[in-house]
Amino acid sequence: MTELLPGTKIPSKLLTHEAEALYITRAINLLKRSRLNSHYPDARALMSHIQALAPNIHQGLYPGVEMHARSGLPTYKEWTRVQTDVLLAPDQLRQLGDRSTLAEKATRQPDGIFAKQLKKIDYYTALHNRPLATLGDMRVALRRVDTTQNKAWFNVVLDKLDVSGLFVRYTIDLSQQSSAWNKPVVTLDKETAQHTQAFQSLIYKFTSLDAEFTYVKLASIQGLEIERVIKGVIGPFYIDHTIIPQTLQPLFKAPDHHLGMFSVDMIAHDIPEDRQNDPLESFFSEKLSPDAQAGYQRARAQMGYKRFKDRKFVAHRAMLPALRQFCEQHNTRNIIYPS
Amino acid sequence: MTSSLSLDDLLNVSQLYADEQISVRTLEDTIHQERDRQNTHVDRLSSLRSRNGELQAALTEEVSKLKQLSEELQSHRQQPSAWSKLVSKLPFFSKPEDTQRSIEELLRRQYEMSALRVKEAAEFSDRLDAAKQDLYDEIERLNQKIINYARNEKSAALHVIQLSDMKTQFEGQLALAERGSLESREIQAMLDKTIRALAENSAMLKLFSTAEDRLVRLQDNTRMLAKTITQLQADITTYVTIASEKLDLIAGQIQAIGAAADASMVMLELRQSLEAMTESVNHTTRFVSETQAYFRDNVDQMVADLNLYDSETEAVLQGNLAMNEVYDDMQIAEAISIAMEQKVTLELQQEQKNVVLDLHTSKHTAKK
Repeated sequence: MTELLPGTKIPSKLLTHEAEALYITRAINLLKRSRLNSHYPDARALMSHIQALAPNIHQGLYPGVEMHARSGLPTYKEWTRVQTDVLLAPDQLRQLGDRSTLAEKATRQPDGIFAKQLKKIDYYTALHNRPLATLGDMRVALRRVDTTQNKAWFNVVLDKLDVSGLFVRYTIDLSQQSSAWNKPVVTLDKETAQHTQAFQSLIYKFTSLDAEFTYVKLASIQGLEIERVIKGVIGPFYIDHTIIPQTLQPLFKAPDHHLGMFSVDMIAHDIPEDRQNDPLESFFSEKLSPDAQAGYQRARAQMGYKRFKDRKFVAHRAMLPALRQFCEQHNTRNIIYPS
Repeated sequence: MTSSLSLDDLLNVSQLYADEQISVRTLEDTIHQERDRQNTHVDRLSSLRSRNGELQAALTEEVSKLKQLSEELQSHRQQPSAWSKLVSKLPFFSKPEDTQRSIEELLRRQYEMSALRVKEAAEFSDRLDAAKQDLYDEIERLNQKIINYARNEKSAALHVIQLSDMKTQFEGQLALAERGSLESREIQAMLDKTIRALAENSAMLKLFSTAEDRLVRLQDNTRMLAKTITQLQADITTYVTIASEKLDLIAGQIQAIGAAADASMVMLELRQSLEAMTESVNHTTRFVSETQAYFRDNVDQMVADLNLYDSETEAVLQGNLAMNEVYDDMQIAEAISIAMEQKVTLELQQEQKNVVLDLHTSKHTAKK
C-alpha cells in the first residue's frame, strides 16, 4: 500500500476465519482477566466493541479483522468500522425490512443478495444500541465549588485510541480559579461542567507523552492547580502475529502463548515517594538531555509532586514463571493474572 | 391435444381453460395487481433516488470542507495566521478560541465522517442489488403468466376453428333435414349450442390475446426499471470500491499524520493526504451527478409512460367489456379470421419445413 507520508504506515495483519475468531476470543479474555479500575478506559465497552468484530457477528460480511501488529489491538479502521455500523444500525434495520420475508427469498438463492441482506439484519440487530469504546472524547465532572474563592474542583477524563494503537485514559483532577486574568479550561453553568475545545485539544495532543509532561504543561496555565494526572494504558497485547519486542521474545516459547499489558503512569501530590514499578519503561524524563532533566527536577521541587509508574500483566498460564523472573530481574514486583 | 377434443368437450367451455380462468373482470384485476406491483417498484426507485440525493448533499458538504482545508493549508505555508482563520471557519470550531484544536482530532473526525458516507453508499448499492433481483424475479413471474396466456390463446384459436367447422356442418345438415321434424329440432339444438360455444371461445381468444399483450407491455416497463437499477448499481459499486480503497489507504496512516501535524512538522505532507481524501470524495460527487442525470432522463420518462399505459389499458378493457356483452357475429367472424390466420401461418410453416426436408432427402439420394 502507498505511504502518504514516510513512516506513518502502521504495520498490520489481516486475520481471517479461525485466526480471526481466536484473536477476538484472546483479546477479550485478556481484558476480562485484567480487573481494570477506573484509571483505565472502560474494559466492558472495549470488550463489547471487540466482540462486534467477531466473525460469528459479521458472518462473513467483512473479510476479517485487521490487527495493529505493534499494539496487538484492532486497527483504527476496525474500531471506526464498528462505530460507523452502530451509528447506521437503526436506519439500516428500518430499510432492510421484515426478516421472515428476506429469509424466504434467501432460501431460493443461498449465495445471492437476499442471503447477504439477511446476514445484515442479524449483524445490525447484534450491533443495535451496543455500548462501544470511546475513540476520542472528554468528560468533565464537577467535584466541589468554593464561591468565596471563585474556585471550582473538577475531574476530567479523556479516553482515546492513541496513535500508537493503544487505548489511553487521561484522568486529571484540577481546580480552577476564575479571574479576569485567565481563560477558563472548564465552563460551569447551574447544572453541568463543560470543558472547552481548546482544553480537550491540549490533552488530546499529549496522549502519546507521559503524565509528568502533561502535569507540567497544565500547571503552567494561569488559574489552574493540578492535583493529579493519571495515564492508564490498555495494551500492547502480544498475541499471534504481533511484533514482539526483543526483550520479551524469550517469554514466548509456544505458538499459543499470549500476553496483555496494562500500565499506569501517575503524578500526584499525595504519593509518598517516587516509585518505578514498570519493568519495561523508565520515567520519560530520564531519557531526556541533562538540561531537560534539570528543568524537570526544578519543577518537582517547586510543585511538590511525586511520580508512580506501574504495569500489570495477564499472561498464558505457562508463561507465568518466566514472566515473574523477568520482573524480578528488573527489580519490580508486578501483578500477573493468568489468562 | 385440443384437436382431438370430442364435441361434448368442445361445447363445455368452462372446462376447457380450467388452469387459467379468465374474464374481463379477472383480466382487469390481474392487470391492476401487476400495475400495483410496478407502482411499488417505482416508489421504491423514487425513494432510492431521494436517498441518492441526500448522499449527494452530504458528500458535497464534505468535499467543500476538504477543499477549503487543503487550499488553506497550502496558503498557510506563506501566511501563518491562515491556519487559525481556516479552522475557525470549519463547523466544528464555532468560537475563535477553539482554533488551537488538534489536527489529528480534526483529521480523525473527517475520516470517520467519510467512512460513514462510504458505508452508507455501500449499503445503498446492496439495496439496489436487492431491488434489481426483485425485478428480475418479477420478470420471470410475468414470463410464466405470458406463456400461459399464449398457450391458452393458441388453444382457443383451435377451438374456434373446430367449432366454426362444426357450425357449418350443422347448418348443412339442418338445410337437408325435413323442416319441423324431430331430427331438424335436434340439429337446431346442437347448432345453438355450437354457436354459443363458438361465441364463448371467441371471447376467450380475444381475452387471452389482450392479456398476453398487456402483460408483455407491462413487462417491458419492468425490464426498463431493472436496467436502470443495474446501471445505477454498477456505477455506485465502482464508486464504493474506489472510495473504500482511498479510505483504507488513509486509515492506516491518518493518526500518525495527524500527530505529526500536531507537532507542526509536516504541513505539506498533510495537504497531500487531504488531497487523497478529496480525490475520493470528488469521485463521489462526479458519480452522484451522473446518476442523478440518469434518473432524470429515464425514471421520469418511465413514470410518464406508465401513466399513458394506464389510459391505454382502460380503453382496451372498456372495449373488451362491450364485446363480452354483445357477442355479435362480427366479432366471432373476427376471432375466426385470427384463428384462421394462425392456422394458415402454421400450415405454411409446416409446408416450408416439408420442402426443406424434401430437398434435404433428395440431396442425400443424389449423393448415393
